[in-house]
Amino acid sequence: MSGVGRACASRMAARLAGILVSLAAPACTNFRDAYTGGPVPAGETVLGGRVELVPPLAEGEQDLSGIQTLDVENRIFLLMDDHPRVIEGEPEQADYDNAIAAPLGETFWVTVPAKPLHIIGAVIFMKTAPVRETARLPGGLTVALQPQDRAVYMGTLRYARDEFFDVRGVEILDDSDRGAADYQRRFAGGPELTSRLVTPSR
Amino acid sequence: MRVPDPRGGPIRRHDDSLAPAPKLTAAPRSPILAAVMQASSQHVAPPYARATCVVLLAGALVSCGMGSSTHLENPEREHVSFVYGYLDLEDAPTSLGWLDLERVAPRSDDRFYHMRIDEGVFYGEFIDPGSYVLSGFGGGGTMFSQRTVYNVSLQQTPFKLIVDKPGVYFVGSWKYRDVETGMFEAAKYDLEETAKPTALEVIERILPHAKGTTWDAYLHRYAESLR
Repeated sequence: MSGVGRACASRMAARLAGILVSLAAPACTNFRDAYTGGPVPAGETVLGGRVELVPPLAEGEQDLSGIQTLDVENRIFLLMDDHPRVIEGEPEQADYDNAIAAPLGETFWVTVPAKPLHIIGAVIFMKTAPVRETARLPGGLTVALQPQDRAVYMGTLRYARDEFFDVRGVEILDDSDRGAADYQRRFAGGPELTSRLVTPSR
Repeated sequence: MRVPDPRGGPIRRHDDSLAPAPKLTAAPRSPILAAVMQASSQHVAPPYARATCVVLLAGALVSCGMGSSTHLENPEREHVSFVYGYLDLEDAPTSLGWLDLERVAPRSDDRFYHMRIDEGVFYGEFIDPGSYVLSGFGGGGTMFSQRTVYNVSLQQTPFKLIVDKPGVYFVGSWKYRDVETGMFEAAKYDLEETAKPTALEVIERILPHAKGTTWDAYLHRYAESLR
């Protein structure tokens, strides 16, 4: 197996420009809006869920020095698309479009289009300067949203990893009761919540 | 519900061949540490020198990057291991000037280990127990070559090393290869594992640097075990 790395060299001005563009990439991207209550736009639904990392990030494991244009601390970015696909290597800027920026270990609620959503990968920013480094986690998962859905809880996605950040397993936990309680506490009287667990993509 | 990892599962590159050479049966050691070594009689520890008041200072210097000299020093801390490998940068714009390992477990503030370098051979006799990855390497920065830094992210490290017992660990021979990228893309490279030079050929290049230290006899015996 070969290791692939990124060279931070001042070989060519153009290449340096390329590096700068890649550093800025996620900050210029549209993420899914957090749902804060109230009516849901037509054609959209509320999606809730949770992502756990086991073991969780240790203090100082993310090296977030330098200027931050994006809140990446203890967050995982779920990369979404309307069809299943595989991301080879480092995600491009376009891969972050419509991503869910989920706080690790906490329940998130966002609005998404009311149609099947595919989690094509996940990213945690481990270092932001001088060169951006990410930990990439596998996708290959689907939330089978339906047009009539108004609010859906997808369960907890648990990534188990080792000290090298190799993913040792991906687990889907049905914690619908906890998700429903969280939804009720935050958005009492909101759209009716349905439980529909994330599943492996076909 | 458990979902199989769509990537086909992680590849753990820690190789049993990295474990301390089994043919090593004894090593010179200081009386002060004899008890420690007897406690693990099934395993051969590297040579330890008597602790002195210089230990703390030397230890701090070593962990902060005292790998700039090519010559080994007598061990100043308990349970250290000898780690070595080879990186061919012939196709890179710089020769190997430095190389760092990062200890990812257990985590600590001083987790970077600056290796000694001799024409592509990298080695360090001051490696504490733990899990390591290649964190970066580079060279240049002289009048005739520009400084080049290669950062290696955690998931892309070419080797993952677990130093669980004091001993000698060979992390392999690697060759740098450029990867074609677009004009506006960041430069990329591969590190490809190569069969040559072998663990024996590499350690033989290190042996002259061990002369006069307690590592000398130990590494000679290790080299002998590879023949």
